[in-house]
Amino acid sequence: MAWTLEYDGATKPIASFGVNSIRRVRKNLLTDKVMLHVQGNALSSLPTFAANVSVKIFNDGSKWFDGIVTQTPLHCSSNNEAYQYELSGGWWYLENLIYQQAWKEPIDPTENSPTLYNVYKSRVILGLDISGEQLSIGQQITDVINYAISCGVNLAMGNVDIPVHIPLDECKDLSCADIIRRLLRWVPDTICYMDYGLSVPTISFLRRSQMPSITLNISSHVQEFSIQPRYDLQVPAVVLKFETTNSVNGKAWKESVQQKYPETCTGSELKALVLTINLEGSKANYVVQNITTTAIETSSVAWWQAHVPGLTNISASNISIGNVSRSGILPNELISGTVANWMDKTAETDIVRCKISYADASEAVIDREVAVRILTTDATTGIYKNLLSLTTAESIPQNLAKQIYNSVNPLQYDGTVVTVSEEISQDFFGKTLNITGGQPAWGTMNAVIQEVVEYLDSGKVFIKFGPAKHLGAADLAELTRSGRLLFESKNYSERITAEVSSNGTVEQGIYARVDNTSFGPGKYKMIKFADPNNASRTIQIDTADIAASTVTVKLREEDVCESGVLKKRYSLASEPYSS
Amino acid sequence: MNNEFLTRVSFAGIPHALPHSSDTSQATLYPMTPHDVCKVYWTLSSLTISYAYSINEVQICRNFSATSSVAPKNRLIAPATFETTDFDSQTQTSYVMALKLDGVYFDADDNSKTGLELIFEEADSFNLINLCLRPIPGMGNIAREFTFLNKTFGVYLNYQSPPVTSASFSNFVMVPEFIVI
Repeated sequence: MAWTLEYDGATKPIASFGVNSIRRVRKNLLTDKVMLHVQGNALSSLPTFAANVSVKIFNDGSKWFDGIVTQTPLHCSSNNEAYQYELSGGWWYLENLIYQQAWKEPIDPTENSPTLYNVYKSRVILGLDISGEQLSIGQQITDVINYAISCGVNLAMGNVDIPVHIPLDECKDLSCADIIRRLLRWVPDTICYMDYGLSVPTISFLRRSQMPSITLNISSHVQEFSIQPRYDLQVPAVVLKFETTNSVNGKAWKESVQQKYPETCTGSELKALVLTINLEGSKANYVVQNITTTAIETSSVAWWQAHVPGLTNISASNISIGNVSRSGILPNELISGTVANWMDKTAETDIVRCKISYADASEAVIDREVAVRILTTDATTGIYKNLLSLTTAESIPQNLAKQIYNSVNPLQYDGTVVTVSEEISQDFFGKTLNITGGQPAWGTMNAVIQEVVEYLDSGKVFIKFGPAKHLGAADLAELTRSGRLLFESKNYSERITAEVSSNGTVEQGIYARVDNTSFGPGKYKMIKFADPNNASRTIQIDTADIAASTVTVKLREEDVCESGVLKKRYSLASEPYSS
Repeated sequence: MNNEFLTRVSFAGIPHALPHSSDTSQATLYPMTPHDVCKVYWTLSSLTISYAYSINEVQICRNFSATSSVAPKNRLIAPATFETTDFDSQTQTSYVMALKLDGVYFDADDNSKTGLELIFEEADSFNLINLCLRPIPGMGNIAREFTFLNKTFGVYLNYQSPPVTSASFSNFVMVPEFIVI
């Protein structure tokens, strides 16, 4: 095999760079690394490979690795000087890039329906796109990778067929790699595989059932191996308890839905995986308006007495009403409550006029014009209700219990294999492993390979297989962390609508009842004032006391001397008239 | 004693019943304001006149008063009187002062100009001099001014020459006192 290395624009045999040892380490959901051992006059020479520079390694012209130099450690001893270069694959970028999502924000929040634009935030909601559609794990991972590519990361998206929907998961300031690991906790049988053979490193995510298998015979090249069936990790049942808190006008209640697999399980089985998952509930806000109306009875003395306070103490039998007119036409008068546009009812101010005549012991009025301003409406007495805002509840991920069950129920085999051959001709990573030549079950175990270390100089390959411990599938306690670390997303509607509060704006009523407290101009015949504590002390002004036919009694100015000072005052007097 | 009172008055500040004349030729204290007339009519308690003059080297000094004890409220019925008269036997001169409050004089076109009549006169037995508030036609005079209620009025020492060969006149002062209310 001809091994070449491309560095700084030049592709040369790998030995020409002084490399005398190559080791590649690939671990699931961690950065692929290649260690280059360069022995020589390390103390007196500059590093062969500079940090952060791209390096590609080819095997017979096929690209075997594509990454950058991330570490250049120097090792020196009394008889040895060497650089141990570390090259990192494409996952390194994902570890060092914080994932951000677009959120809607208003250009001008003071507008009623503001135009929204996208703002990228490191507070993210997993499982939801910007349009409000829920995303599967596969779709969310694709979004993460596409975000990284948009940031300049040298990656291409490969296969990711994980149509599993999860509860919305809100988190912040996590790297793209952390986000992917967080998502794959729900399907821990998934492997992240980087294909370096294409022009751009292509990242794929394969579930156990989707991976090709590779079979090793223990009598062929296998130097050593260990293996154990992990009956202890088998989960007999998965029960998901979804809890939502819904509210209407601030009044909240809890609702719970259980999802389980197999359908016949109860959740009380030993080692059953029982997760409580909080989901964002629905929130609704209504505005309610009580309206009371009454008919407009303009010919009724009682109606006028109810509207003109000054008539209250006058006996109805002494009051006569005439010349009634109205400025409006609506049938009912608003007594209590307000009429708002959302009621789809009309209201208007109506001025009702009439001429009133009455006489009692202290007052006598003839044809006094009275006008009252009332609010009329075509609404009738009742309760009007309008939905101000509604945030729908987060939907329950379908078949999630089954998906988890399928990940953690099949028997997993845990172990290591070491093979040695002249040339490393097989790519083990991204595959499931079967071993023949031993127990029959090993031949079909389809153990997920989690780690592969390849020593090119010796032809040795170290393979580690089994459940993905770093994803929490190693034991039940870790599995339940998937639920414990998850909180309901309280901001998912904000991401889509840019509305922090979903309470809505209460539209106030614009018409309310009008009270009348004043009279129109009247014609008094007589006014009588009486001391409330002594009825015999009265002041009475009665036009009947004026005998002359055309005399006006009014305030008139006159001169007075007050203690030697000339002043003026007003007196109620008439003009002179002939007696 | 409480002298506070309130009564209706005419535009000139005196009772409606008293005469109001638009012929101002009789008013010697003119023009005054209706406020001044009102104050004098209702609250004047005494009026003092003092002056000095010399005729043919003979020096004369006078100081005499007229008072009234009529309370303001009683002046609604009739005015208070301020009048005094005397005779100096040494110089053979008589002198008189009388403030007439039984009517007012006003400008027919301007009711804010009001006047009272003050009769003041000193004369000798031979009509050689006449000290009064008007110049006398045909006689020489020495004119002086005095102030009363912040208004300036004229006073005249009228004399006949001969026999008067030298005359001087000074320090004519008229001081009112008012009832404190």
